[in-house]
Amino acid sequence: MTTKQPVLLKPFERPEYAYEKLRRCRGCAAYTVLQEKECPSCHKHKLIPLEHEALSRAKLSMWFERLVVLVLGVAAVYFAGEDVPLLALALGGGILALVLLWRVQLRMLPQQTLRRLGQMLEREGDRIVHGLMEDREDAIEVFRSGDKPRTYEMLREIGYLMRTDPIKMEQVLLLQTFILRKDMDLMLEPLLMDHFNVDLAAYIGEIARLQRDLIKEKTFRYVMVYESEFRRMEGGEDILALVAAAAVRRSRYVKLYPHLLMRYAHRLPKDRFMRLYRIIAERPAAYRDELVTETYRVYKEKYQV
Amino acid sequence: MVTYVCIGIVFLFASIRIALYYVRAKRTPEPRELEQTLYTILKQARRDSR
Repeated sequence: MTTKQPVLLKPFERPEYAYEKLRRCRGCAAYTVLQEKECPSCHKHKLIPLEHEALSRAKLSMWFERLVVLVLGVAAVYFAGEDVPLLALALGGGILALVLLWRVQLRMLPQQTLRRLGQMLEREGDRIVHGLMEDREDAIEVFRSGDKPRTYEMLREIGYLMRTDPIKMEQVLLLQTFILRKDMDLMLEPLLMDHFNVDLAAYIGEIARLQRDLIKEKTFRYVMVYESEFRRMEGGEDILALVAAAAVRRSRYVKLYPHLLMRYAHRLPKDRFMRLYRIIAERPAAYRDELVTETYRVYKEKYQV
Repeated sequence: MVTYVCIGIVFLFASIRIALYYVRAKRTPEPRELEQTLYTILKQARRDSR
């Protein structure tokens, strides 16, 4: 049995959009998702968020347009010579055009930034993929050096974009070597795989025990799809009971997953079962008959005085 | 004469750029679409590498 180690994990910054995790090097145009200070490729301190690069490009383009207007305006003024009315027209016209253009550009800057961002994603897709592959290689190197917490943090960043089962598996395997605590910044749904995995199942059990708020619809579906595999594994029934206990925290889950609760109601801890009982007793008509019957049966058998 | 041409080009250039800004603003992708684009690129790369 592997000895679990106590660890301190850095909190994970969840951006609003996944591309906010990407950073681009202004020196070598390499991409990375890791939060290092220097570029993993050229080792220069030139990493900037991809959004900032898109914003810079949009602003540069706008400055170029203003320069064109300015140069033409200056040329118009120059060639007006000493003809005062013509000079006034050139000056006024130039300033008007510049001000109009500038105002529109300022209003359109957010949209232009998004447009540039879209262009960069499409044109530099290969570089982005290459960057993430390199990040993964770096994570493997860190793992080989023995720093498992740091490896997990790196895989967590990479896995936010590359949602592949191998990366999820690596994260789960690492998590299973840590002593997990209630105050840790853990995740579950992003680690759910397309197939049953014993380590993931054990991890679900731990999360159900420590942070049941992380057990949501996708996890319930995963558990129900692979329920037979859970039952076959050692301690699987206990994990299923813990997941059922997590479902009791919301009446919505009681409605959505009655079969899960029916099968494990008798194994729920007393406080969880009593909560289930109260939810059902409040409005029995709102829940499946079989679940209501089973809940009342277990109550009568175990808790009725 | 040159002045008039320059002023004409200035206004033509500014008008075209302003018009293009408004036309492109309607076709600007939403952040969620960009996020999906990124996921698609990464998924495609995964498929190609198999």
